[in-house]
Amino acid sequence: MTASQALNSRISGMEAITDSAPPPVRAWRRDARGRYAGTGLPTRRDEAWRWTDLSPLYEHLTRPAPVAQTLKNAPDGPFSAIDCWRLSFVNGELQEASADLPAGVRAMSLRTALLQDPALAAQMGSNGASAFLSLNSALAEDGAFIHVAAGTKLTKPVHLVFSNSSDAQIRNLVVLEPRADLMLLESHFGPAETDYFVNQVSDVQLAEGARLAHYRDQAEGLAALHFHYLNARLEGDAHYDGFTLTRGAHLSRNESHMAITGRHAQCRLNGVNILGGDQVCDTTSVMAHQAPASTSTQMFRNVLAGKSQGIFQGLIRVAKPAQRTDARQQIKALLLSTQAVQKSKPELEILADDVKCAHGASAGQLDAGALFYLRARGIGEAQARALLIGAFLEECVAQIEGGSAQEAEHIQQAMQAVIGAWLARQLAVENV
Amino acid sequence: MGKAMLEIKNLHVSAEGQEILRGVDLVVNAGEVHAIMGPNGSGKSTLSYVLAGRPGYDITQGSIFYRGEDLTPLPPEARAAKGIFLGFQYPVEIPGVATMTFLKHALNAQRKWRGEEELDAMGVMKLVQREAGKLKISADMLKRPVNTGFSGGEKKRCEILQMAVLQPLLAVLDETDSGLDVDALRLVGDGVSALRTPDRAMIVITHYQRLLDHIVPDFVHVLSQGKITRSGGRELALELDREGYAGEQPPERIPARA
Ligand SMILES: Nc1ncnc2c1ncn2[C@@H]1O[C@H](COP(=O)(O)OP(=O)(O)O)[C@@H](O)[C@H]1O
Ligand SMILES: [Mg+2]
Repeated sequence: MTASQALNSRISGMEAITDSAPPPVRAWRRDARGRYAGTGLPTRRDEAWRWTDLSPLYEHLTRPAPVAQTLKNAPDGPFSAIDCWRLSFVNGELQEASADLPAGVRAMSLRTALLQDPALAAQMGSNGASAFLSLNSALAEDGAFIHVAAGTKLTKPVHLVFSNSSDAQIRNLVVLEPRADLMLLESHFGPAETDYFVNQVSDVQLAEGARLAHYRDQAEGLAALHFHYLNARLEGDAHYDGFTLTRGAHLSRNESHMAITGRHAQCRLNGVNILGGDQVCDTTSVMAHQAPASTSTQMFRNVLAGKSQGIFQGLIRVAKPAQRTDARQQIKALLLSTQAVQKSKPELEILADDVKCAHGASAGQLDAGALFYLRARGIGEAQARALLIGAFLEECVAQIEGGSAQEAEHIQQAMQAVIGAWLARQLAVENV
Repeated sequence: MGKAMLEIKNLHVSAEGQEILRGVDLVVNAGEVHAIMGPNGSGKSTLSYVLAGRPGYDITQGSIFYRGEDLTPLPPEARAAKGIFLGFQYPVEIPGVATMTFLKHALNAQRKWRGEEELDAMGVMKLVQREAGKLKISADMLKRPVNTGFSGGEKKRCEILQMAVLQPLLAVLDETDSGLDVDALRLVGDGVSALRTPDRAMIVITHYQRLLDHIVPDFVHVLSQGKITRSGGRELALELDREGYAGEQPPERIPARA
């Protein structure tokens, strides 16, 4: 069976299941199937996929999906020690959810939520030409639904824990009503040697003055394929603070479509990608400013060891009405080996005339002068490298805002600890 | 011979295929201060880097012994742990690493290497603050990333702070005086003099006699075109200050000075 035959048979299998879904959900799925039929999976001939070789996915799809395994314990991650309300998923199916949620907050299975309120389907992204989005809409069975009522501020974060070992199409919907305030954490992990395929889409709706701190730790197994599509809309004065740590998966793509539709919104989309071996991580973003006087910043830091590859394609699009936009984008990669590769393509598409836009992309090696300076003071080579790499990433980690200064410090330190452990392992393995 | 702290014999050094040091001989005993002077480009910094073990310099001939041990195979961190300190002519900026954190790593790495107990954060902080106070280095500066955004004078004072904290046996100070005003020069001079003990030695590389008013050298050498061309006592520095590196000047300028 070819990859596309395999997917088509998965899609027709899904048709039978969704026949029982409420009519709006059925219609929504049918549309998605139609769109997917129109595009099929992308290839490198598609501009948006020029740099990312999808052959590992094509090959994966010619084989039967891996058998789901039960993972004994969630591995430690940056959010393990944080007091949260947790929702645990196994291959996208909700297993367990904290029951003691405060008034004004719903955090539950999206499938259940759609059964209760089929009109929610209208809030889930179905536009756009992305085959992965269409595929997810056609196939996703479950995920998280989070709703925070107007003016409600949660005292603890909500943590989505995704344990994966087989193919999963995961769909999340996050709706923050006006002035709602939430910290949402996500962890993704799975067994080291299984080539499972996760395709996750998150729709995020931030109403006027809503605030979402959204931090993700992607630690999928090193043979996994991880696709993440974030579809966010920010209304006036909304504030999105995003940070993704990518350290897992053989091949991953973080694709973010941020639509800023209101004035004075602030959007931060940051990430640290630490890769080794033959890992590939593609970061693709479209920052669409559609209303005046909003701010966006994007800061990505890649540390690439072994033969790993970092890919960045970031488009800043400023529509004609979006005067006084301030949009910044910066990507820096540190290459720890001569075989590691970074490819970056920043793009601007600006139709308004009164805007501030800045973008920059660079890739280089550790500064030999700085390394010698540290060693001349007695710091061993491996430790000196770790210090310099940590400092390179710190600039980005330090941007994490949290809900309070204390919370920010807590999360930043937890992120640094995970990064530090990765570095220690990497420097020992590669002896670089 | 007695037990020299440092013994350099017929040292030839190349970088990128070009010979920079062409037969340097130098013996430094414990308790001594040696000044090395010489025109720009004569190889002074190269000599200091080679002593500290900077990669990229090839020793093509000769030897360096430090306290009876061949120094050349040792990596920079081992040399530092054994007591060699290089005060950089151009201290390197390290964004993202706070000066205090850096000093803690350096001090404890050296202690660990020597089999000594590591100091806790409090112990390091106390030690660093005591020395920083003497050099008029503020607590705020210690929180800032290493050398990042420091003025020229701040960088040089910070080098002396590192030396004071690390307590080396052999300090090589490469133009620590350049870019310092009179007050900073005195602070640096005092910091260096405080480390002048019978069991330590120093090599002070400088362009000017003025630092040598604060750190009175036992010996003065002139390095020119990769070789030590003259050696003498303190008076040689005064003479050079008056007359320039006469022997090294282009010939047509000599009559004008005579
Ligand atoms: N790493 C290097 N590669 C090539 N040439 C070098 C290197 N370091 C120094 N040099 C050259 O060696 C000479 C001596 O330099 P340096 O030791 O810095 O002199 P000084 O400190 O006495 O001014 C100069 O001509 C300089 O350009
Ligand atoms: Mg020099």
